[in-house]
Amino acid sequence: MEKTAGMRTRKPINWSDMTFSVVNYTLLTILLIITIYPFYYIFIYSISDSFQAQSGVFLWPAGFSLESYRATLQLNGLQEAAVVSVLRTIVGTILTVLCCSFFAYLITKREMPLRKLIYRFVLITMYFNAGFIPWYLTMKAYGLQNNFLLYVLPTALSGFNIILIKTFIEQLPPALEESAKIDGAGYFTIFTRVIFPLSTPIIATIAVFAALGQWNTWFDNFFLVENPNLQTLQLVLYNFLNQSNSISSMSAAEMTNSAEVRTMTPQSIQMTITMLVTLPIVVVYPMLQRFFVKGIMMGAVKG
Amino acid sequence: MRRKGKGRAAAALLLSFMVTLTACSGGAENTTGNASQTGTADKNGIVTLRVLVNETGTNWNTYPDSDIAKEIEKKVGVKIEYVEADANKMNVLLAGGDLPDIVRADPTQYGKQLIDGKLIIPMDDLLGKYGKDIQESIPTVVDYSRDNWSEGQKKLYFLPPQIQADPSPIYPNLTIGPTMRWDYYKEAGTPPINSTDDLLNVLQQISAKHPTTEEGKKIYGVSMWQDWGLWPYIIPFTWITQQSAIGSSDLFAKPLGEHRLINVLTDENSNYWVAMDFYNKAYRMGLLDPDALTMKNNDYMAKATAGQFILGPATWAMGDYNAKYAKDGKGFMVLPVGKQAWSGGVRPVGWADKSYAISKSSKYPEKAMEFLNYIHSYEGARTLYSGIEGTHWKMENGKPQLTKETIDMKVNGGDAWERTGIALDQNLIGLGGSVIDPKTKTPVNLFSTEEAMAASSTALEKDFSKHYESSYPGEVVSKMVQEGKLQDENTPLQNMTAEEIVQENTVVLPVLNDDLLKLETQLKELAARTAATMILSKADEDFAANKQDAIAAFKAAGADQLTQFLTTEYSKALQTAGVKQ
Repeated sequence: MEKTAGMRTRKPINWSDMTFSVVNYTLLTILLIITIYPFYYIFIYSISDSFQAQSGVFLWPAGFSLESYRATLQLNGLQEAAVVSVLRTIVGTILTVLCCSFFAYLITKREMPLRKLIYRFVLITMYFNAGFIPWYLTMKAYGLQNNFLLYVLPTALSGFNIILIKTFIEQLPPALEESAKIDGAGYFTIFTRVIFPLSTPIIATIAVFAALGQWNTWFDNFFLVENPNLQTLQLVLYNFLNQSNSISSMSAAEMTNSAEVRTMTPQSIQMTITMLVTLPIVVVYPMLQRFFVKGIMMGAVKG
Repeated sequence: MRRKGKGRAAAALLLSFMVTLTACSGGAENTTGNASQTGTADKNGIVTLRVLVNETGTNWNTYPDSDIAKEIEKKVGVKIEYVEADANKMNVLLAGGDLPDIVRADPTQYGKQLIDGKLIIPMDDLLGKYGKDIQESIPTVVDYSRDNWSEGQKKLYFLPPQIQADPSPIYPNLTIGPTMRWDYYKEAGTPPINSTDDLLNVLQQISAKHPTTEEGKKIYGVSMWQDWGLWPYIIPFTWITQQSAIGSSDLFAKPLGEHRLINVLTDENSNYWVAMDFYNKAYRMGLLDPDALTMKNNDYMAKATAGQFILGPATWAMGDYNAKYAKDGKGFMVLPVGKQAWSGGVRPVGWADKSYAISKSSKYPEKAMEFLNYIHSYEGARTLYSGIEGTHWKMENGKPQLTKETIDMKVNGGDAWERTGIALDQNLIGLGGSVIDPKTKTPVNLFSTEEAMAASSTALEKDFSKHYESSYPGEVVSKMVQEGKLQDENTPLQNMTAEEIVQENTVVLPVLNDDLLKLETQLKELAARTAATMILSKADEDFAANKQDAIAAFKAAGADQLTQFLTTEYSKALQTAGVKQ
């Protein structure tokens, strides 16, 4: 028999390796099912008929109905709210990334005046939170009520992000900066041409977290924004869910005598909203995932 | 070079975004004028008033152009917009001090903060100029508000909605009580039911004839759901025990017409023990759904919709069975049996926890007063309940009558009905539906006249009413109460003066402090577990023994401490309200 390049020699069966593989695969499969099943459940519940789904859904949808999707997607103001949410995610993320990274870079420069003091101030905000009322009063005082800037300005600086980027920048070889300085570059040029491009992994990580945060936040909208042109997707959906909950828990005194037919239950609306809100994230995340891996890998190698 | 260009382009893009958006929101700010929370006037002089409501999930804002909203614009010159707030947001807005034009809140909870913090204004001056209808329709409430809801200032700050000083002459259809499959009950010959044992016998008869549904699912005599706390043990038996639940604690009840509170766990004849007896016997007779002790409300509703129960606690608890089959004459109706019907009662000070006040920062307090006057007027209340004169109802022979189209629209429900805005938010209507308009001697809510109730009945309700020689289910109860066969919440009021009625209805029930709340929670958990043991007792002797053990256990766990506290506080509250004990 000729041995070609593509042919492998037979290896003897290694039982311990085999056992390890079997156990490994089994455990990971179980983990996979546990992780994916809740999401799958939400998906099949949302496409089930609302009332049949109440008796329980397991592997397959109970009946089939896109009624809850139709009702949710036809909500008044949903498209405008979606646009606002997308805008705030994009603008907010860009702002957060730029501000946090530049701030972190400045903090790494020893020659910056009051460096330690400013850094500690920022750190304190990570641990202490004044609560709702001071936050509300501060936002009002800055004139951020009913203003788009409310969505993007307060989150522009975050202690946690700054620490991450600062630590990352400090790991970069100082020779890079020094050589740029010798070539006559100022701080800003060094930041934009040298530091920022090198920090891509950590920047991407922060960008993803910031984007997720922006996409999911609704309470700043709830407390401070009444302008119908500035409602976010999350709040519109939250209001819709509250309405359906309040209808289903109407007291006897408020019920009319006519047989009002409910076409959906609050649970199926909840499931539909969850699907609509997480779907964009599920689509975008895998594309950005490679930055995480790269970032972690780089850290590991350097360490 | 390309990268530099890209970076510059990105920066330019970002900047232009922010400038555009700030400009956008800046521009929008001018049209809705909301650097503050209050409303504005548009070019036609229509003022948008913003109302802070202490609840979420309202749907008033979903229909800003409803027929009713347009009528309010026409009659009062205002548009109403809700600002929803949960407890957190409420506290935040109160702290911020900049409230919407009108505030709807509970004066006992927020009154001190609002009045002492000078966040709302007294309405006395405005009342003279713009509040004629209020003075005409609800003078006693104005006085009550001055005396009790003004932090001792004797000024008018709060006006509640849904005020109804006299018992309603028209009976609404019952919704809570022994709710049985009417078609089955009729088939069994509508035997009399004067006790829970009678009820069980009827269930047994029906169960023998109807063991399964058409789809082959098993039919159970009775069942319950376990995720509303002790609800299935303390609410559904008022029809025979005549004890009503009180708001401040699930563990206490008040017998009809009496001025005392009983602890449902330690009093041997309470709702709780009657429930234990009933469910235990049902279990032993094979009538109890095996899932009754573990099921959640959702599952209960699903089974009810599938027709798997003969008896339930309320019409709204039977899933969508009635919605599907009422037109075929099949479905669940509350039987007019036992001792008491869950109906009647008065609200001399309305739904006080949703009272309206005018905020200090409102730029249009006169318009706010005009609006509050409108909703408390007979004309305004009639419009909000029944629709617009000429469109939804017409005057015929001096009496207002709903048009057939309006009644049909309500019965069919759905989007067309909601778009009219009729009775969209009951909290927005100052007078109760059964308040009689003195000009035409008809209730302001035309849907609660006898003709309208009869016309909007489903086939099931018509069949039910016909059997009892009436034209709609509420009338059945009304006749029985008049004949003395049934009592209801109006019965004790019959021999009281108007002043005494107000006193009865304004007793502030005692509230438990934190320590007692913990004790109450522990007792409730114990009660739920005990219920399972009690209901599964195998024989009468076991039941009796278990009952004595359980009561001893409740006492050992501190039930008497709660009883002591609440009865003492209740006596004090009765004295404060001026009720003779």
